[in-house]
Amino acid sequence: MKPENPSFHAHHAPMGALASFTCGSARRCWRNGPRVDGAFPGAIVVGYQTPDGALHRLPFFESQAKSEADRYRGESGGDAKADDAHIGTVEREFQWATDRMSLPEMDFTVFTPCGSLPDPESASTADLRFARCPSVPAQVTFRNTTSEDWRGFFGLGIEQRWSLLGPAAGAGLVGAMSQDTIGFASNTPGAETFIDFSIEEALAPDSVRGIFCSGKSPGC
Amino acid sequence: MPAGQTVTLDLALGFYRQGKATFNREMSYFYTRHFTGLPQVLEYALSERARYLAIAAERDAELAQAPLNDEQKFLIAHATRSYYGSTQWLWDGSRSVWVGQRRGIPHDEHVRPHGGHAFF
Repeated sequence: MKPENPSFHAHHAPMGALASFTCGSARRCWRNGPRVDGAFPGAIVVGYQTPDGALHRLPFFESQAKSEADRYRGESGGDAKADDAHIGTVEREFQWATDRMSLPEMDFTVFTPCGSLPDPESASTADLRFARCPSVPAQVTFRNTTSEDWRGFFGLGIEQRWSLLGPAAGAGLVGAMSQDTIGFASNTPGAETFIDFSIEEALAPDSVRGIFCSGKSPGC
Repeated sequence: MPAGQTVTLDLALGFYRQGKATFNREMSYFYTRHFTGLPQVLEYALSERARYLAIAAERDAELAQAPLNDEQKFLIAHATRSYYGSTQWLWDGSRSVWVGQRRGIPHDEHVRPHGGHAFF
C-alpha cells in the first residue's frame, strides 16, 4: 500500500532483540539501538552525490549548523562541506515486511522478515540461529540515467564513536560499528567505508580523512 | 555509480548486547549463544540475505491478499514492526524466555515462557 502521507516513523526490528532501526519521518532524527530506553538519536543519510558536489538525499535528517570538527580548527576556518540539492517528491510503499522510501532516482528499502519462531526445545541450532539473528536487511538502489557518474552513499550520524568492522567480519565486507553494539555492513563490490565528523564533510570534494575514527558519522 | 546504470547497495544493520540484559531476573539475549559478536552477526545476515528477503516477500504477499482494506493493512504492518521492536528473546541459563516490553512497566510483569506471547 502507498500511504497518502509518506512521512512517518516505523520500527524495523529483528525478533526478540529489543532493538529497532527506526526511520521514515521527514526532518526528524532516527532512533536505533539495542534498548528502548537507550536509543540513539541521530541522522540517517541515504542518497547520491553528483559531480558538482551536491547531495541528493532522503530528508531523514536535521541540518546541523555546527560540526564537531569546528572544535579543532580554531580560527583557521572550516573545511569545505557538500551542500544539499533540491530533491523530488518522496514516495513510500509500506507493505507488511517491506518498507520502501523512494525518490525518482533511488529507492531505500528496509525489510522486516518476520515469521513464526522455531520451538527452542526442538529446533535445530541452524534454525534457531537464523531466527534470532539480531539484524535488519536493507538496500539502496540507485538509478543513474544521466551521462555523469554519481557517488551513492548510506550513512549514520549518531553521538557515538565508530570503528571499522575489522577482520572478524570476514573477507569482502565493509562497514562500521560502535563498541560492538550497533553497526552496519555491506558486501556489495566497490563499496567503501568512511568515517568523519559529519556526512557533509566526508563527502566534501576535497575530503582526505576517509576513515577518521574520532568522527561520529560512518557510512559506505 | 557509472553513468546510465542501476546499482544496488546491499546492507545489513545489526545490534548486539553481551551479558545481562535484564534488571532483575538475570538473563542474557538468546542470540549471544550463537553469535560471538556484532561482526559475526553482520556477516551471517549478509550470507543468509536471500532467505530473509524471501520471507519478507512471503509476508508481503500474505497481507496483500488478505480481505482487508488499506487502512487495516497499514495498521497490521505498523503494529507488527512495533511489536517486534519491543520484544526480547532471552536465555535464563536453562531455557528460552520471551518478553514483551511496555515502557514504564517492570520487566517481570511481562515475562512469559517462550510461546506464551506469540503474535502469530
